[in-house]
Amino acid sequence: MKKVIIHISDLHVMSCYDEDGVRQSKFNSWLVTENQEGNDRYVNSFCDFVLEEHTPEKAYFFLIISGDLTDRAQDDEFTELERVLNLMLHRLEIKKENILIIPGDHDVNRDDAKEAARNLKDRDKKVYDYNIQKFQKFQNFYNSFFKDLKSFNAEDAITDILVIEDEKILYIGLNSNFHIGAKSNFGYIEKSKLETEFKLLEKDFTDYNKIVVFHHNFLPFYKEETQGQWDKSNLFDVKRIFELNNIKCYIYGNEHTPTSKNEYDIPNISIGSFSMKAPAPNFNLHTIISDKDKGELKILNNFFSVSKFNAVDEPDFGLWDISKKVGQIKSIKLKSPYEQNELHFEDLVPILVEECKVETEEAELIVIPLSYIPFDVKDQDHRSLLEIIKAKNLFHSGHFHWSETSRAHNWIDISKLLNHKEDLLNAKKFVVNIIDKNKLEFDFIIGLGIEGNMLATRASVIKNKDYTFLPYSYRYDDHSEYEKQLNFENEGEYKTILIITDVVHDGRTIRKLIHKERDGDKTRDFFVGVDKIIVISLFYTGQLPLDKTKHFDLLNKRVKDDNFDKENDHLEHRLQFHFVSHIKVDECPYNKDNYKSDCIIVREGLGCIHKFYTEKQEVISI
Amino acid sequence: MIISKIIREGYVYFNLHAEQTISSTFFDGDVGIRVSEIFSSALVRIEEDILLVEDISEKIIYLDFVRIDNAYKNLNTILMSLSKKCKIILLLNLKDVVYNQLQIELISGNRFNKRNSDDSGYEIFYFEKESIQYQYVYEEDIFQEEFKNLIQEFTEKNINEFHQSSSVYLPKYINVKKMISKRKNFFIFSLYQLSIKIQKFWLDNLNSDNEELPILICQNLNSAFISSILSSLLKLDVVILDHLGPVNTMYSSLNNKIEENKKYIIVSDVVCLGTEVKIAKNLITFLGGKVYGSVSVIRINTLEEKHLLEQEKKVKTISVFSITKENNQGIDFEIKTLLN
Repeated sequence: MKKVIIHISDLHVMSCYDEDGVRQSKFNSWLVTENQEGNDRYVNSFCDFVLEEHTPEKAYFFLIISGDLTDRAQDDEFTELERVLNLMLHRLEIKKENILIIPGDHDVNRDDAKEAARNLKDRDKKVYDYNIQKFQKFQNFYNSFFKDLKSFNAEDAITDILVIEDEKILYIGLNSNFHIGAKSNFGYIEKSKLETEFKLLEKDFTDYNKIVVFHHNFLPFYKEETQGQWDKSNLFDVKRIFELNNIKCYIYGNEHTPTSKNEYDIPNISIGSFSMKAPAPNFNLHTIISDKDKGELKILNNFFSVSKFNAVDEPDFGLWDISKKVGQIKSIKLKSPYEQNELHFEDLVPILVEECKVETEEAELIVIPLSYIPFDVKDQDHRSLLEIIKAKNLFHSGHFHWSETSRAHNWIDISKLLNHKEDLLNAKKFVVNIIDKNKLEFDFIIGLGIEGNMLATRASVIKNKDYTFLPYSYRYDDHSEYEKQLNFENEGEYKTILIITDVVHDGRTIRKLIHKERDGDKTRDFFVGVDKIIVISLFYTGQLPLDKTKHFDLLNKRVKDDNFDKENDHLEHRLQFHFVSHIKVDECPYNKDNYKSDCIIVREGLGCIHKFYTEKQEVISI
Repeated sequence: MIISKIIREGYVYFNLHAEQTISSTFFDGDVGIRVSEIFSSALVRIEEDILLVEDISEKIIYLDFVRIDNAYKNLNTILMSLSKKCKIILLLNLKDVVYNQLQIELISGNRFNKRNSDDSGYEIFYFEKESIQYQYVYEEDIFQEEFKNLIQEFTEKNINEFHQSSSVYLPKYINVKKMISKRKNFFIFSLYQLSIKIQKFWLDNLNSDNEELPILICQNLNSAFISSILSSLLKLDVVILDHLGPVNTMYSSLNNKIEENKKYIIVSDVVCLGTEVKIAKNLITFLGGKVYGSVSVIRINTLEEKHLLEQEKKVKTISVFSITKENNQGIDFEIKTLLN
């Protein structure tokens, strides 16, 4: 049986009396108090349509309501709301344990908040801090509706959850009304409260696919708005907590604008108003699609809205129909099947391997950077680079040495890739694209190696930050002392450093650059007080984990595992990695002691053997 | 980012074509130095930048319109706004076409406005009707003066460095990498100046439109930065020969990067004795390529003019700044051997 989540928002059940207690005759909502017959007709029409789409024999329904259930949070509005909701549940056979309800700013009784502030006269409290009082009427409704099943706590950030056990999907309902008092309409959730409650939740729902539902919109969808309706100073903190908790989708109402958009790979779904007359009423159906064999789990996102055709037998509110205006999100992908590179470069196809599991000595909180966009094989810049490599035949096989300990059986000829002015320009632009797409901020730029120095020039001009360049650590001996100088001291003014380079394999070269102690070289000192080191590489040639959330962390070395090269490697945890393209390069499987005797390519001279460094030789005095 | 700002006591100089080139190459497209119209973005950047100049209200601003053939509409409002922030604006090398497009006739009439020699515009135009007389500033003079200051600032002294490519000692070392790192903006202005020369003396003189453009040869870390910027400004391809100097180590490469009968420009930071240029030339020629010339930011002229001319016949050279016997005072560059 299909599992279908009905998502409605902004019902605005409206009292037929205005603030003066005068009965009104015209209303903006199809759901009005003392209009049971009209309300029932509206709700029944909706239920009929849902049942036509998914009969209860074929579907198992859940219900989510994302705030503004009433218009002015009046008792009579809540009473009628409870009645129409019960009708809806009866028609659609929805169990109350399968319902998630959160309040919106219209469910806050602002008069009650102001009165509480007037009576209690606590100078340390703002009007909006009187959560108990401002939500009293909503709480009465909520507790009455759910009876003993659950109760509403006005001080909680996480007010409700909906668990879909078999598929391990968790909808988390948040109260975003902590700054709703006398004036403000903006969403706000206290950071520490949210963090604490997420930690508690995590204990019971560690491996669940989490989706958050709240009322206030993050993104502006209504055409006249330029920003979402959320407190700017709080927005960053809340998003960061969501990212830390691996939230896979944000769903909200508020703007009465049904649409959807990906923001930094996170689907934002805005639900329109269920029963306001203008714009046209709307609701969403989320259908869970689970294919355990393929390892795929997703939720189809369909919008439905009312259309008016002025037909003879058409109800005054119109007819429900599927809407074509759905925005970008056709489905919420919770688990993707095994990804394939669609390009047909047999030699170049990235080898996707199981994520390397490293046992950490101490449990360390690894924070996914805000706005981080992982590598995607469909990315246009990546495809452009692969096209150049294919056209110029720049991917080579043989035996390539960068040092005694760094040897591979493949090599990408980057200097030829950058040869043509248009290709060079595009490669520089790809680097800037990564900076812009990921909204990277930094204080200092280093171009690493000749190619890295060339690639970095455009970013260094456009971003106008202090800039220098350094040779690769494996080529240090080939440069004069002046070429190796960083030329900048760091007394704490440079907290985030951006390193731009052409190719990164396992990050050892970068870690060596940061940590290697060399006489007269102050590079190591420069990095001591640095908080974050962002690395942008044109290519990543190492193993690509299936889990994209690991991409940013690929160059960090947090523990000394069995493969740790004590002589040439260093522990590092500050690296944040971005790369334009990925091509897996095969390492020479032998070690520095046996590759000359055991690697058949070297021993028998079978393939091209290229050295990009100078072997240390004894100087013989004559 | 402003590249052409040169601050002197009493005035600040900006080269509008250089600033527009930066806008049109990095921010609003990739046109390079061929841009000839000034747009608002370059002037807006200057307007933002002058707020960082100390005592700007007491200073004259020279806006050099050299190489600007057209102006976008409504720039006069930005000029008006700029003029309120400083003592006076003086427009240099303002062509009549640009003057008309700027629509600044209301401000014209200053008795010190001076027409240029071919009467095609103003050598100096005062952006105020009444004022005292101020000096004309020559682009080349002020740039050369500033570049000499730069060399003095970034010359490492008393080092007795053994020159890796030639059997000589250099008691002083011009640290171009430090120059790029610490004065990146002005260094890019120097590369803009180098591009203007390469375009004017070489690229504009190519025989026909079909003649293939020369390819830049990058041969070390400093040269990589220089070549990358030159490629953006001049729209030229780049070949990386890794690497010739200062430490000369060539690594095997799978494919020959030098193509037969193609023309190459060797790009260097400093040409001192020319050893690296000779190595590069021999390598390119051996591999079948042709050396079109050599460009450098700094050139040390160690020979008399007649001998220099003789050398030019072998490899023609363009540099932004030449250290000569005449201007070496203050720089005091020396080349030594054990014999002297």
